[in-house]
Amino acid sequence: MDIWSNIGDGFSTALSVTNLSYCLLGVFLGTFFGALPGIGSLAAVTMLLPITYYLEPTTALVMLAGVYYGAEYGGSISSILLNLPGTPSNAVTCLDGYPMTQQGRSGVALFATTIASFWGGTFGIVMLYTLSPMIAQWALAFGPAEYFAIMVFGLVAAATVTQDAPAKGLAMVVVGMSLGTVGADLTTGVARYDFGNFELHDGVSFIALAMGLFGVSEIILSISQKIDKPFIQAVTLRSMIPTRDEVRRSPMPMLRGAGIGAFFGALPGTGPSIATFIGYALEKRLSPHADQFGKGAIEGIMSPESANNAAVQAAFIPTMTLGIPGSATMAVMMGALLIHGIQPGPQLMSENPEIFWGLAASFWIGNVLLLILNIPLIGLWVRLLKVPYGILYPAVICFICIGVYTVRTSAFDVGLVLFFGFAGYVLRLLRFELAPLLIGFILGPMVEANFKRAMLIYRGDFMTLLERPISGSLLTLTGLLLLWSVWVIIRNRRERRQLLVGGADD
Amino acid sequence: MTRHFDPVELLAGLLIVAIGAFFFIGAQDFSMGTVARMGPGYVPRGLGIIGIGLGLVILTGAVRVPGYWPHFSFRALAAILGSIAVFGVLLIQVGLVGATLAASITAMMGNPDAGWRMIAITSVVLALLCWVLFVLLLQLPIPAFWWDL
Amino acid sequence: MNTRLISASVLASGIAALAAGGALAQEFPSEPVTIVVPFSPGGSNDIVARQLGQQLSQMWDQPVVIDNRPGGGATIGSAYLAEQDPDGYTIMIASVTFTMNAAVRDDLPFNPREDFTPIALIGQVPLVVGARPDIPVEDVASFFEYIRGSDALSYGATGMGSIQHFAGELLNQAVGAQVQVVQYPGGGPAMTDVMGGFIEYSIGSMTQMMPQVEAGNIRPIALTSLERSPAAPDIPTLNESGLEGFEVIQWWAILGPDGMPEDVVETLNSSINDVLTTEEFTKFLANDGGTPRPMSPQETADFMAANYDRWAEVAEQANIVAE
Repeated sequence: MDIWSNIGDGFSTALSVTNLSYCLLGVFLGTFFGALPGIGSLAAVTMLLPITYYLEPTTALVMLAGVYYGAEYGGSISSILLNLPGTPSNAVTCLDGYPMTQQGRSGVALFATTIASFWGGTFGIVMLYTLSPMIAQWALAFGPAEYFAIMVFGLVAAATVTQDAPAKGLAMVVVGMSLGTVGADLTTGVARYDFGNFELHDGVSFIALAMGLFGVSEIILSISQKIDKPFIQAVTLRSMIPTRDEVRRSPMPMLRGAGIGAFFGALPGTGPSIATFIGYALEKRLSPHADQFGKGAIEGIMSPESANNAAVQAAFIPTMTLGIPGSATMAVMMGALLIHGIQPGPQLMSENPEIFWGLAASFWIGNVLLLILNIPLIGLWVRLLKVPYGILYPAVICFICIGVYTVRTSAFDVGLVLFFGFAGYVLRLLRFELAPLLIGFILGPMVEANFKRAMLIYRGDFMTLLERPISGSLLTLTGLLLLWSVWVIIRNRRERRQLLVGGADD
Repeated sequence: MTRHFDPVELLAGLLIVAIGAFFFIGAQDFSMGTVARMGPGYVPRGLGIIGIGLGLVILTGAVRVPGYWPHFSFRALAAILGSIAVFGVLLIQVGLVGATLAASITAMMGNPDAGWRMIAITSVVLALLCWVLFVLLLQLPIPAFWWDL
Repeated sequence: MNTRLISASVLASGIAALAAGGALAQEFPSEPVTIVVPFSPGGSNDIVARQLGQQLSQMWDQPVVIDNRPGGGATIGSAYLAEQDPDGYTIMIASVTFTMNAAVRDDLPFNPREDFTPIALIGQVPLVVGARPDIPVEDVASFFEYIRGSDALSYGATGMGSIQHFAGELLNQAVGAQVQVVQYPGGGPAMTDVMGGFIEYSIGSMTQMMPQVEAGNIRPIALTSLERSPAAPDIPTLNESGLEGFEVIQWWAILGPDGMPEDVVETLNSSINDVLTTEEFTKFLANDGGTPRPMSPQETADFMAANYDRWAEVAEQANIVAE
């Protein structure tokens, strides 16, 4: 099998007029829906899925994939401008993207996002091209013990994202994990904390949680502070130019982010969220400007955005080569393939090469389109969100409700948005960071399930976890990270007390 | 301004202790199992204890540090949460257009600067927009009006 | 709820029907029919329902809307169906899991045997016992020997009371083995751990297993149906390999709410049976190693009743109970 002829065939498939136009349509619609505050990639793909039923399988997938990464990109627009992440993976972008907007530098933030997304996407696609079969085999070396270790590592890394108050960050992770235990236990079928609601048997709806905690609480805070959005300013090409210092600081985080993203994307079942958190945490450790993180550091955008898009593309590797979707959105995409009678799996590359290579090529073309579409169109997206806040926020509330309702046809989930909106508001008043809660919620159930599986398989021998090379080294690393955090808690507390008590006495 | 404790940290610590206690007490209904065969209560119980512990750590940070009480905005809270509730209830009673209209009006009550004319125009435009976008264009299986229910 | 809503997937057939011009409307159906799928789009129930719905829609010149109402392992969708008018315009696809759920759960918000009208059976698909590629066995007999001989082995299933769990425990009983069940959130993840050699085998659908079998990632041991499958004639059955009468098959049926008029049930049943015998539908099921199984409403009801009894018995013997 000659890879170059495959790539050539792929591009000729992808560049057919039909596929190209649907790719463009998908990318445009995806960016549009993703930029609508409150609608993330899962909701966008779910909403647009029925439209693709009539299309040829390849065309349908090309369009849906365009919607998917378009929405991931669009989500970063509303994250940066409004602090409303459309998807959980965009939550990290808010940490430094929104402060940049508050400083009147949203143009730079959006430009950085576009470049980092493109690089991450391209990196992920190159992996998809060259390493798919190998990665698929390599991912098989990850069993329950290895997944447990990597999830724990991700949790602890995420918890320490909030360096200022590690105890509160850890508390949020624990609350997230506790919420993750809601629902039927896989092994025994026991429904935990469901209070008689069958809607909770599959767990708390992930979108409802994210939208309530981030979207709704942000709106309550904004209108209670009577912010009439003074921050969004016209974004001209000139305003997108980063400072020389920022240019110098960007490439390495972007490269590392892409690597992290491709790694986690390729692991079935992890998805882009964890990659963005770890990318961010890593940059914060490595950066000499650690104090600027959370206040508009360019690395805080470059790394997670690059990681996100690399992961989004790399997530197609387990989906297409193993038939195992890495995330909820991927599961919907795989459903689309199945509806068209195509079974993703090891056979896909040999039996339907035109689909595999055509898709891979169209992914890259889609990323080019994203770049072309967005640098000149940033102004348009911004204008879309420049509607006065007093008019915009009721629309956001309605979009959130509609988006959440559509995913499971469930009014119960709308009620959950209400609950988590309230919870998010209270938590933010009490100066908690919400991002660690989300990552705890995503990873907690996986930690529990994989730990249970490992203990069943190794018959309760905890030492096995430490003896296996991959899980052992990851757990050791996690232990070191935890010790370090404890030290930071003690040090910070001492400093803060001296500072504040001293100040109050003046 | 309080001099001897930080109210935000105090409330934060109490909240985390309460959440930990909620999950810990709730987990008493589920069996623990053994390490080799963990029951459904194993992990929630552990998380509850860790939560209570972390809450206590946060509480210790509140002592002897001055701070302010958080400002709770009832009007904004009631308007936004109310609008979501209105949407959820009306969607399955009168359909998308009515639900959007009512939710938008309720939400805009939270903004003291919004006049009735602005509320009316915004809400009607928004309801029509949602109808066209989600029902007519995207054909989502959401009832638009009560006769579609 | 939205029977009159025309979803995008059926719009085309609706327009086609109009274009065909004034085909005389039968008495039933005179308006769009909704098939509730109590699972998310993309699963086997959803795909079977969509294929059936598309062909019914052509036959009736009426749109057939697929309404996905996932949650609580089919509980939400089933409870929803039980509340609908029994006029035949809202029906649901149910699978073998529906009868298994009834055996293991006592918290269902409906009575599975009383609150529904069995309308028709669609078809059946065998499961395949798929083992890790380097499992040290030669044939089915040595496989039995191997799993009987160790108490450190595990197999994968997709949750308490799932069809894989039932099949696995039945196999344990029949062979006299004590292979430990390990639960996964889906057939895919269970399969990857088999491929990675972390667990010995899992008993999954042919749809999911066969591509991995063909790629050499999974060793097929045996089928769980009574007879071999035309889709994989080389794979023996457990039934022919010493476990006489061993049968665990995935099947799908169409149910309505309780109290449906008999003539509507008959009409639906004969329309569905007409679809089942088309070449298109037979081919569709054969892709997954399945076969259509047309039955009358009464036969469907008896078939389901037999399933309820059987799974209740197995659940009790194997101690498969939600706590």
